[in-house]
Amino acid sequence: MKRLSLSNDSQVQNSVEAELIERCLRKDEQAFEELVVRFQNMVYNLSFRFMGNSHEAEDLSQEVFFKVFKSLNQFRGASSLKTWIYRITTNMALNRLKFNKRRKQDKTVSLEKKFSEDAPALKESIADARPNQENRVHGKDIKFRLQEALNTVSEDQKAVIILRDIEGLSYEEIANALEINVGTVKSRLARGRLAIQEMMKDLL
Amino acid sequence: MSNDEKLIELLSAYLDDEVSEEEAHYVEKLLSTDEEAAALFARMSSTTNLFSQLDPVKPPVAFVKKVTSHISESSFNTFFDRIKRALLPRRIQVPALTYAAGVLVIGLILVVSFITITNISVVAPTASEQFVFEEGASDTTTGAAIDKTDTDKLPPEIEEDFVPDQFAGNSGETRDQSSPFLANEEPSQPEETLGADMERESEPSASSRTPSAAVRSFRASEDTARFPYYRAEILQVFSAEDLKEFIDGNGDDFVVMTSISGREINNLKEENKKGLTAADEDFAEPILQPIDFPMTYTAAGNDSIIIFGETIIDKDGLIVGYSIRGPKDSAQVIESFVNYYKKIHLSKFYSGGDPLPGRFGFIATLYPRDLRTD
Repeated sequence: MKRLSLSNDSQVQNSVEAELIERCLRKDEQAFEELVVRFQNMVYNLSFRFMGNSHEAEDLSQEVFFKVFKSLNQFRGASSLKTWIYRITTNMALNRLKFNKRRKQDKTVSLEKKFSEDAPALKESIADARPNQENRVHGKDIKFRLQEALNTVSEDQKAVIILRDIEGLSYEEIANALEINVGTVKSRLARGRLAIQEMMKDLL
Repeated sequence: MSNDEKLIELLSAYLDDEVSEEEAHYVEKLLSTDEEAAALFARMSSTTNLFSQLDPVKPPVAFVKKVTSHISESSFNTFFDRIKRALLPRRIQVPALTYAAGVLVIGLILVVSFITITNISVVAPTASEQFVFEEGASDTTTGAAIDKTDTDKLPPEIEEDFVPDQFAGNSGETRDQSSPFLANEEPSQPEETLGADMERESEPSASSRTPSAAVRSFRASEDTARFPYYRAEILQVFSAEDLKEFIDGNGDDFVVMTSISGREINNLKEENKKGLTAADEDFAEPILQPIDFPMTYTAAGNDSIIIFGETIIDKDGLIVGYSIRGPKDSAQVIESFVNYYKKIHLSKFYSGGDPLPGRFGFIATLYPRDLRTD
């Protein structure tokens, strides 16, 4: 499992970051492009895991960078830029999920449900995660099953699982990104894993 | 927390190497002696390993360009410019400079109108002018219903919560507000009920019988007016609470708004068409049939705007209250829409079925339409 170490960024990296931020604050378009290039994969991947489809992931990623650009002057450097962007992405994704839920646009369906013509977005989200042949297990797609399982657990649990098991952040970094304490990270992660485990038990 | 939960939490943390040395020793001992705990740990480990099979997803190729161009544009544009770009069809978008020029011209016309108003004496309305006022609901400052309907039968919370909107008066002046919206914080008749407004409308006041300079100006230039009609297209109808969240939340919500893309709106339209029924509390089914309404003012400019509306529908499907917000510099367009909107029946907005009483939010676009060429 990959593991990022955000809190131990080297001084060189910090100074590069600081310079990048400063240039962004001067509205240097080139600098902002650099920032987007640097973090686009992280933001998009995280957005995709939260939202479950590429359209919403793209929209959310754009919002995140827009927010980053607008709020950069509030970044005080208490955490690394990367952690700060993680926090923004996670918060915005959670807000969006809650909003979608209220709008009854949550496309989550049970695995047994057939995909009708009436659910193009769902079909697309499946297409995004469509398996390679080697990843199929008993006709089921692990990736799709995992994404579906993720969509089923609570948003709080989903956030810690994504940040830990997919993004590889440490508990401290997760706590920092979600602005919760490490104990809460532990308990949410344990419960979330248990829930996922229950849903994936036929594959384990 | 039960012992089981504690154990699960401990195993989970051990799996991530996020335990103290002491805890690690304890877990290792436990795993070597307790088969059940060992099995649980193995399953948990397998579950987390599954996630490693999820390949990183990469953004589209043009993502960086799209984001950076969006941001550089937004640095120089207003909130409404951005919403407009995101929501409006391409054919009715105008370049930013043209838009800015339009705003400038409107401002100039407003100043001229103001000067004219202060100099022109009041004259009796002509028949055509009266028609304008009748169609346009004579008292444009009330922001309430036209017909006397069963407002007293509405749920009490609706009446209590609802604050009728205030727009620029018949003079066509725009109110000076710091809010980007035409907010309704300062109604001129705050104590009056909707019913009182309705009664007042049956007895037009002196000011409402008197055409404003702007209306006279419209009549005078009727033949040459470029856009005597505007078109309103309801993009989305949803619960009043969601609308409130959209526009009344903290500044961050605005960012959410700006990111609603044309594609998303189209998706919403498609979904709405597919039959969310009147029984759905949160999401009514709007007719996407556009509504054309007459422009009351000639000085309204020719740009397209986005408005956020909230409306109260009684059990008979009549509009008994509304609050509409939009850009300050488009007050006249909005007022014209309101004049028309409060006269029409809900069935204009909903296809089939019974009208749905209650309180709704909606987003609409208003854009100029030249009926002579359509």
